Amino acid sequence: MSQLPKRIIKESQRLISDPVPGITAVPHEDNLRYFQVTIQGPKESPYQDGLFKLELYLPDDYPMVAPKVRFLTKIYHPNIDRLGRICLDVLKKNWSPALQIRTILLSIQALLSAPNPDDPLSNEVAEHWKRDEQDAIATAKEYTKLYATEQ
Amino acid sequence: MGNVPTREEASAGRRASSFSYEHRAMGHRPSHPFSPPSMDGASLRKKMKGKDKDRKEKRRLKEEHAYNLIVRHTENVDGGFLAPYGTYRSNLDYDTNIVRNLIIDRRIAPFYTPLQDFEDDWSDEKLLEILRSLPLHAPLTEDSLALEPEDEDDHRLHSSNGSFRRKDNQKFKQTMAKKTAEWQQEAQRLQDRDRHIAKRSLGAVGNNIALDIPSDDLLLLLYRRASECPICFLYYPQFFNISRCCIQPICTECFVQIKRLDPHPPHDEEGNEQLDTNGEPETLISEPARCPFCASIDFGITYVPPPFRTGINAIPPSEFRSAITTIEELDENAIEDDAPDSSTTTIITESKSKARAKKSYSIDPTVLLDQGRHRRNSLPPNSPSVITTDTIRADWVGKLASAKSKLARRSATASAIHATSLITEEEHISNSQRRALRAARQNDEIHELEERMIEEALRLSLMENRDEVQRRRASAPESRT
Ligand SMILES: [Zn+2]
Ligand SMILES: [Zn+2]
Repeated sequence: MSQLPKRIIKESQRLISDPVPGITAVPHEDNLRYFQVTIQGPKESPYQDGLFKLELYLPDDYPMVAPKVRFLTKIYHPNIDRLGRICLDVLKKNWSPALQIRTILLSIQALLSAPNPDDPLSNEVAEHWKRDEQDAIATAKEYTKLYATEQ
Repeated sequence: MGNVPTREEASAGRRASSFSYEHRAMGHRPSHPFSPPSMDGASLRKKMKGKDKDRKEKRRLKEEHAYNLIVRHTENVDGGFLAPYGTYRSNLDYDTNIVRNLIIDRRIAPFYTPLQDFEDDWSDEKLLEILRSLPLHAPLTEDSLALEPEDEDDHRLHSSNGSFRRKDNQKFKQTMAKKTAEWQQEAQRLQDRDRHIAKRSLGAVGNNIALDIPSDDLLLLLYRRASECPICFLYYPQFFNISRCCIQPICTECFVQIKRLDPHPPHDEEGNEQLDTNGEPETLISEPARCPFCASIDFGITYVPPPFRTGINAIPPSEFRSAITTIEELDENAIEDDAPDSSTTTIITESKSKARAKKSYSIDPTVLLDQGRHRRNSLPPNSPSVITTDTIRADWVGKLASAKSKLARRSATASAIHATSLITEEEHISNSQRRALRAARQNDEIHELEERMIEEALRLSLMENRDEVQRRRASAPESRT
């Protein structure tokens, strides 16, 4: 579909004119359905001081189907797997067309503050989290320092 | 179609060329060339015998569906239409006949043509200029024609029959896409022609043959206070559908997009489209759609129509006049305009017609102010005024049944493959395994039979439903002529 729906144009504009604190989302020049996203690690989380890169794609049927989002920066989190895929209900069965790019990115930010090892995507990480939360958090901090901070 | 057209059909045929209005004034509903001849269950069954006829009938229904998705300016209700503008290119598998009738009955909002942009401070002139040149359909792009969503039925039915059927279906789809484009162009040509006539004959009272071109009063009344649909972000007249649960506005084009997920196993977090062959067919579930705003189950809307009526079962939209335009205001306009003689005459005739209009169908636009959001409480999904997503996609029962039998067939095939591999491995086969293999093979045929039975049952219930609707309609008094 070469013509971009008004909704996508407006969401893009509003993301720029009224940005979410700690989040940027910039559409790609060649493909306005493809966004380069950054999320700052929330304070008092193992991801604090990290800047995480993500990619977000709006399928043809958006907003009737959810955006596709993936972490590009390596991250140690029970709900995010090695390929950066995210286990988040609003990206799957709880998606609603009344949600937006903005609300999705906020949910992902919240997921960084509140990992949920009981609904894991990455089993090893979740096991680690349940076995020894302090140690898992230490690993997450290490990953953040190693992969999510500008050297 | 072979049957002798009734009076109504004949008049509907004329209607396509759009110079007649009387059929509507008489309270007739639009019918179109695809209305099937009425038939009882037995003769229908006879008629449906044979796969070829079955396929033909399927295609006829698809063609009717595509035809129903064309916006025609002659089919208008309160300044909106019976088919979507085209903001969404897929998920249009709702029952077009049901939706058209719900719009005519003013039970859901008509498909209004959306404004891509809107500013409160636009002058009337600017707004009118935009409105008068809005197209009936979103422009079709080359690839949107090819983007026709894959029909899973085609894969299921024909994957076993080789590529011939699939190619044939592909060809049918392309033909339909081409037809759709042609129908859209033709509909636009007719609207352009009528718009041209309306412009030329402005003020020529009593001689107006472009009855379906809305008056400026109607356009302004509808769009002057346009507001944004929270799902598509497009601007519409304020007469929105309202969610039954949380009283949020939603345009009809977005409403018809919302539907149940495909049948899936319980606790399937991913909402997988691909069914697992290991699943138990009987456990497949189909859940009612949730409200996009508050996630309540059984999404439905109600609609409070505007306090005026134009189009089908009412006065032509060209004849609509707002009562707020008083004679005094007209005089003021005349002075302001510093009008030359010819247009003064126009204004006088206008004012006469407005005075007449005021008498017969006067509207005070101030009552419209908060019109769309009358209701203040939630309603249950079974409330008589609520239209749910299931109302307009009544086929979900059939879809669930067919997903179940599909899954049953798949697991039968899987065990057949298992049995076959046992043969090669052990070079002999027990009687029970032989039986299993034979049963699995038969299962394929049974499945096809089953599928045909489901389809027929559906068709019958649709026919019944249509008859019921017609009966109801026949016995209900026409609301206005
Ligand atoms: Zn909408
Ligand atoms: Zn709701």
